[in-house]
Amino acid sequence: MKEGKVKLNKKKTLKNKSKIKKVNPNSREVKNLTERRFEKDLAFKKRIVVKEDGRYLIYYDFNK
Amino acid sequence: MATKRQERTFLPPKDFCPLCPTKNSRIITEIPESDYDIVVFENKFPTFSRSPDKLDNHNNADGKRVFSFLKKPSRGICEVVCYTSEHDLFLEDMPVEKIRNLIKVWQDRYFNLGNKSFIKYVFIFENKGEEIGVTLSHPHGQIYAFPYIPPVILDELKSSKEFYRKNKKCLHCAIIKNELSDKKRIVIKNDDFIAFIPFYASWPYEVHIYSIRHLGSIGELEEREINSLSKTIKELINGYNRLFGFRMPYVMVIHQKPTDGREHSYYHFHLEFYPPYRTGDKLKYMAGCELGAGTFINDTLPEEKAEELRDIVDKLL
Repeated sequence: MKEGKVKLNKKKTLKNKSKIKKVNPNSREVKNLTERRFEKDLAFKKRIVVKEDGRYLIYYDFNK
Repeated sequence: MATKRQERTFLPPKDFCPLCPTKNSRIITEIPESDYDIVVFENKFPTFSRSPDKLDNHNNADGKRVFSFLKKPSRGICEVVCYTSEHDLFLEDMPVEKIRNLIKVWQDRYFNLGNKSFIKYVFIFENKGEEIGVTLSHPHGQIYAFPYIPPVILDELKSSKEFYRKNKKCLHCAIIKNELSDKKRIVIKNDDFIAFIPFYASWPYEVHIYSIRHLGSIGELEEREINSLSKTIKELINGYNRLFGFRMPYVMVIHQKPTDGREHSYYHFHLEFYPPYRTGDKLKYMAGCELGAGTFINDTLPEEKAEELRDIVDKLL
């Protein structure tokens, strides 16, 4: 079996620090990256309903 | 603290199951439609809330200054995932295709919840059986979207990171390599997953399912892997059920990388199952040493228990 390749973030050095774009790790820009890739493969229809008490309910329909 | 959970529904009869679809207009369940494939909804008795009450750590209700332990609002999201509209159709009874659909819903929830700025960890799990403390028997799981990384995951992350720093390879990939070479603790193995009782198991029949490819989260599973994982889960639970001739209760958890915006590329996606039985009529309890000293005592050898389970699973195929 081939072991998975793992990359760790290189530590920022003083030299290259200014070149690195600062991003907020919690921003949607960062978090959205993976979702966009996933949405191409959606296999279901999703229907969201809000209940009287404010809670949401999501129907996942796979016989779309 | 989530004191409202004390009021939650406790083992209602089948006709009053709140997770069944609404068949009768006099009894409206959590799901108002007459049928469904898979449904996700916010827990009525949540541990976390999307908009929790503000806490004042220094003043009481009258505005008087008082001593208080520091508290934080429990901001997060708790969801219930109903696997099927059929009250008695458990995960292991479902066709592989239906389990595949469930994994796709888990993926969707991972992205959807994980994308929220205040959610740092999406914890997907299932509690099954009254021995585990389940209050509703309808096949379902839960998702807790945490505003922080929970401590067990944090420990695993730390160990994985440390191992990577020292060895320049993934801890879990190294464990897979050892298990494949040793073979004794393997229960199920296919092209994409390995299910085994780890040498460090806390419960006699504790099984971990690791993806053979290095993945960080459920969202990274490809179609073929989703299919393989569905089969592995089905085979394992059916193996558990055959072991003692009854539906084995268990806790199933999914461990994956946090959604705090950091890479965590050294971490490895996997599932863990903790069934509480050590024999057909004896439960393993968490007692003094486990609860008070944080030290699990396993009375059994993982190699022997893995062989038992492996023989049963092989006969099922």
